[in-house]
Amino acid sequence: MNAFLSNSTGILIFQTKEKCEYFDVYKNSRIDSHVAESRLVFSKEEIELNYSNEEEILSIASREFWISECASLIQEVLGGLPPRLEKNTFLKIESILESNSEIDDKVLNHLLIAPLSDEINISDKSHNAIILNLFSTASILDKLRELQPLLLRMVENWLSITIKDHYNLLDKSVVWKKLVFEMDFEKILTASSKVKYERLLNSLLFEFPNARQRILVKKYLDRLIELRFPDYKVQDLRVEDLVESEKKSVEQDAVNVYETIKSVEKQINTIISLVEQGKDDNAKKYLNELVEMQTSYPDGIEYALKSLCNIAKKSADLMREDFEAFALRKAFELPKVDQWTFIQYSDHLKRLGKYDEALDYLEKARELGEVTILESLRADIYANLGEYEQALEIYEEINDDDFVIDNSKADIYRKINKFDEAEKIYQVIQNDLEGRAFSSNDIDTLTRAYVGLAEVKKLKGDLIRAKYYYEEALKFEFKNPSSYIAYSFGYCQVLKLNEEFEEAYRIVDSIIQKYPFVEQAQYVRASILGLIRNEIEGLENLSQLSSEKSTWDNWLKNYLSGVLLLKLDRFSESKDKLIDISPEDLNSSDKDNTLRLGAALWYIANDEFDEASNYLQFVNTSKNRMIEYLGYVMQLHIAKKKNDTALCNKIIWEMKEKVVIDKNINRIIDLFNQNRFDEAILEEADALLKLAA
Amino acid sequence: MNLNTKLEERKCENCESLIHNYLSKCEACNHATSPPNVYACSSEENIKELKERFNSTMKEAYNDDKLELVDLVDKELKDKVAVVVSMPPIILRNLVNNPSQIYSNYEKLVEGRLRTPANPEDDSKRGEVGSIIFGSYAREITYGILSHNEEGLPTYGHAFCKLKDITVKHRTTFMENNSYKVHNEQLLSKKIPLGLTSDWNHKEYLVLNKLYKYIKTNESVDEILVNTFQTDGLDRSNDNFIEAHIYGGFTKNSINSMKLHHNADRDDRRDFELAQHSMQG
Repeated sequence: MNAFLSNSTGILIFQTKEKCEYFDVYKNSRIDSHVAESRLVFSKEEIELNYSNEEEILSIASREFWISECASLIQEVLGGLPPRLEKNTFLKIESILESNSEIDDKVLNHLLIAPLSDEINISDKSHNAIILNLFSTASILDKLRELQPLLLRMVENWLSITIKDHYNLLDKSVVWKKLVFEMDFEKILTASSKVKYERLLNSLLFEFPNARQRILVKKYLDRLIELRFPDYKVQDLRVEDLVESEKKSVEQDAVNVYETIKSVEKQINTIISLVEQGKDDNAKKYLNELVEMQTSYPDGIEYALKSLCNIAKKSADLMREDFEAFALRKAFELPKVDQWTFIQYSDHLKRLGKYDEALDYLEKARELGEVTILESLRADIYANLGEYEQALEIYEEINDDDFVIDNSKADIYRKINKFDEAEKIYQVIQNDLEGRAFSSNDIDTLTRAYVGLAEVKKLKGDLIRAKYYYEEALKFEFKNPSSYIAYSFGYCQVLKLNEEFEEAYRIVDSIIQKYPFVEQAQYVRASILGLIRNEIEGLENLSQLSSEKSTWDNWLKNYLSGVLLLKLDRFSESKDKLIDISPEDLNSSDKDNTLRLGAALWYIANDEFDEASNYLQFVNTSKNRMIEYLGYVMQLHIAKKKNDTALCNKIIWEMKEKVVIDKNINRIIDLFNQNRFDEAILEEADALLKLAA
Repeated sequence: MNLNTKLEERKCENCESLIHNYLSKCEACNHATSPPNVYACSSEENIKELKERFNSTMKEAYNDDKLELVDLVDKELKDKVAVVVSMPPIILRNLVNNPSQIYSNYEKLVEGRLRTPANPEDDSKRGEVGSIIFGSYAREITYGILSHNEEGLPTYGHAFCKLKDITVKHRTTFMENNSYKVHNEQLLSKKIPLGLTSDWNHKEYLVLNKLYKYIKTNESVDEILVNTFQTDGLDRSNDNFIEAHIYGGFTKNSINSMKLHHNADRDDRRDFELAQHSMQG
């Protein structure tokens, strides 16, 4: 059966036994005949497809359309676009490449139909794609760049061929298109031996069922081989031979670089696989070898940097911040560091909570030029520091039509308790992408919006809906495990707040089985062990974590150990872990307020109420509802212990205005009223375990 | 119900041979003449009927004390209305990226490419209605609407292209309602009733005839003009508009300006911006 696909509109028409069907491949939806017809508006660009059933035709058409669309978007980028539009187009290209497996070669073929103008700087475009972490796109652009000299040579040869076609059997351009689109053109271009070149080219003959056409095509191909390999036919012209030999040597260099790229890709994948398995020594050995090999070439530093940043990114995706740090430090050992390395290191430091250092590296990156990502990263750092207004201001100034920025803005609205504003943004994203998120970028964006909605619901005390949104987010298959792991931890926290400890334990344990080197998972498990009165095992788990390997400043490890020790009444050991920094030296981030609560609880447990109050006075300004409420609970604890009825009434009055998120927290207040303060301490410690990890 | 039924054949201005009323050029000498839709809609009897309807509208306006307001609306219309074609932004992007790309009618493209569907009920509605109204030149007609605000019908795509008057005025005619409505309402008639269509020069009559029922004395001209076309953006059967029939297609160079519907999604926004960028380049 035949179908009809318009590549530039995405409209597919095909016939089933009963009727004509119309499908919009671009929007992935069935459409009626009327709409389909109103959109089929370009002549001579349609292609006919053969198929045997509906499923097959949809799959064939979708693949054909996305190959063509992806190539068309790459051409848009190569033609030059304003930065924001270039970024959005890059994101779409990456999403197409990710959601359509194995189309890279075909997309590349579409781009090889003719050599690109010398004015187009493909390297710059590839660099921009890498800055956005769009490695599939960057890889196509790199290949395109490497193949340009070979393509130019091939096209020159092709154009120089004149074969008389007395019977008008075939247009020469048809042969060229078949050669580029239907054959393994990349291999033809890079074929270094005459035999291989001849074999690959001759397979084109099968594309022409007509015998007379085949004879004509064979003539074209013979001439092509002759031009590429002069010894294919005995040549008399020695000067030309010399020129040919010179050109051949240039081509050979290009082939070598190309093959090197392929080999590097393989090496990087091997290193990442070793990192995933925890075989760090081998991974480090291979990484060193790779850097040594790459830096041995002229201009190889640039490639080595790219490889190291790539390895760092992939390690971060596996939540192996320790190996990420190793790769980035290795990058800084090279004689020259580029802007992206600074940006990536800044992002790494931000994730470790080292905000001041992160800002320093951001400024170093800025010295090498302005790019949007610098501002969004700066905003992100401020948001992590708890300086939300400033972060929001930066995001507003970016003025980018980008869901990633929108999600970040919504996250800030959520953190400053402007839930309606946050929900509105998340829902726009949800409406736009729900049912349409197929690429990893779209999945990341949509799931982030789901998680944002879940967090809003959690902070409104609606744990049922919070669970629902987390479950929606976790239904997706993530290319990047770090998102899956982080969202699972968020889900675990909701489960803990809802006192569903067994389910939370099951989830975190499954993550540990799958990703045994994810440090945070061990923290979450230790916190759950503490909640189910298994503090000793929790402490043992924490003690097994290597301090040397940890990139997390050990704060969470110390903190959780401190809380677990407190629950076991081991006060002196606990003090070392919980009271480290004076309250004034901490900032307003959630992490620092959590530290304050831990210190305050230790002082309360030891009846040192003035010290405790000292820490708590800063907590009251927290925008985090869970932190703020727990701060009130601890203040009430002190007031009760001091028998300060007026203060108790004042605190209770203020607490009435607040939303209770932790279902267990009212039990603590009941314990205060019954003067069962020792038990209350245990419950407050549990609240800290739910909060911190 | 064909537009051109019963019209007399024209004589070629160059060689005086008879030109069939569905042709746009003389078969004998290839001399161009007005397109058949324009020939039909600018016929004396159609324009006479259109003007008569307009006169009765004006009389009604006089009796309702709305004449001044109608006059104001008429002046605004002359300045503002234009032909707008709606399309998905991906189509716009492909149109503007290639200056030789022609936006044309579906029937022309699929002619002979697809077999007739097994079940006639599934046949193309647009093809069916088009061929009933225009006859054999239906495949030459490109559809748009007459718009006062550079926007079109989002039910056909979220990008709106306002066409340059100079590129379409000699080949465009208008119908008071969309062809489906007219087709369904006039099923039993052999010809579209006179006065429901117009050529370019008389389009304001058609608009005012249609718009009059919406003119309220307490409304501003802008509020009245909103009724030039109505759409809920979702269901085509709720679209109410004056349909523009352009003989032939158009290219990037026919476009005066472009607008994007506010409900466009992210892909549409990006495609539209790429088109805009290409137009500016």
